[in-house]
Amino acid sequence: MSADPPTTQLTRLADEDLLTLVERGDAEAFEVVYDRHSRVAHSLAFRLLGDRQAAEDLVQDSFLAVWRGAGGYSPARGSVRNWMLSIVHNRGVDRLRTLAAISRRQQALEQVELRRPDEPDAAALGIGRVMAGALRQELSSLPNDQFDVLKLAYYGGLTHHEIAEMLGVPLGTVKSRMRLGLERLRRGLGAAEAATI
Amino acid sequence: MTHEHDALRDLIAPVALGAADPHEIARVEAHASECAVCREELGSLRSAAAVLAVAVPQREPSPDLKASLMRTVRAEAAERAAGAAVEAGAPVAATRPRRSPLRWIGLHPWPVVAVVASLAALLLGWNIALQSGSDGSEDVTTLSISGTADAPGVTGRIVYVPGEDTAVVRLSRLPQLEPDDAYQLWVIRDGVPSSAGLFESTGPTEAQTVATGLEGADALAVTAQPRTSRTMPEPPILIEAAL
Repeated sequence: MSADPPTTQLTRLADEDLLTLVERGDAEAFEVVYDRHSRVAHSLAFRLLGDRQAAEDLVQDSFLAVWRGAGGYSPARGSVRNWMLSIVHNRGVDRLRTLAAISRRQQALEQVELRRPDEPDAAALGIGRVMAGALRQELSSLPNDQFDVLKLAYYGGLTHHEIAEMLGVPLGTVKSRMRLGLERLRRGLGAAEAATI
Repeated sequence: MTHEHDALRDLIAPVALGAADPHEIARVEAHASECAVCREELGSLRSAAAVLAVAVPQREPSPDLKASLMRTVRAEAAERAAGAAVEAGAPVAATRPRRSPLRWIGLHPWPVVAVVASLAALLLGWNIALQSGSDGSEDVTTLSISGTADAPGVTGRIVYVPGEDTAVVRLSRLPQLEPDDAYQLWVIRDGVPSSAGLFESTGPTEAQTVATGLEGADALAVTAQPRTSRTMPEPPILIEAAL
């Protein structure tokens, strides 16, 4: 039983090809997937749960879910990275909803801040610097009301019903702010991709 | 476009953010599977939401996390390979060709009064076959196990990977757990059981867990017992395997 690092050949494969190998039980291919995405997965898990051990437990559970059910990936769900992050996010939100009352989540959210424009990230995120810069700019220019609902929903694990109640605004308003905020991020994503072509 | 379409389209942003209720998510995903407009929008907003996933300060996970995860993954990979070999009709050896760190010896009774009677019955339920990787590519030892008198229908397999000092315990045809109960793995050394952790079902009647640090262990056992009572094993004991 060898614990040597994965071969160079494997590290050159695309995520989708690696997942095919993982589905066949290839532990080395899985290790390459882990090396590529564990940092961003752990960062999201820590931001959701606010505790290092809880975050590592979440990352471990999420990657084991990938290992044990890699067949669940479909290109229709987007990139492998986004699919894996959605697993981390869904499981993290489940834990938030199970373990924390809304008041505790509010408290945790006070510590939540989006990445600041001067923080390094492009290499860690596997995207180009131009794209990363465009995304940061789009995030930092979001109107506060849209920024707040995105933050409460995505990092706080609150449903749109809970957010409406918490902010004292109609449900339709919350859904509208969510859509406007996401559409703005989508435009930023498109512009960023265009800038890298 | 119908009223239903408009109502569900309104929920796409909450769904993309993971901020909808489960029944709302199910409705939107079902609708999106038939509506190209909503399918495209859901995919597009999910991609936008993924920006939020990466827009947080980056933190490296500890090296221990990778080490622990890879121990489990390599052990399970070896277990899958061993299972495939069995299904392909590879001969099951009666002896193991390599000496592992574990001592495959008889079971000592545990110093737990409550389970002594059960243990006597357990011995009758064992059906252990030893085998190892026939091609020498993986040094693994596999035990086919069946349930104790407490749970005669249970079947399973323990695969021990000496290189990782890790065993994968896979059980099927398990009895249904009581609401507040959990499966619990025990490692027994010199007749003294110590907990190796709780684990959950992975299917309607199936469960799987991974045990590490088995050097010097005499036996593994699995119980179903209340989550709050985790310091000593209690009946029913579902399986027990002498190592």
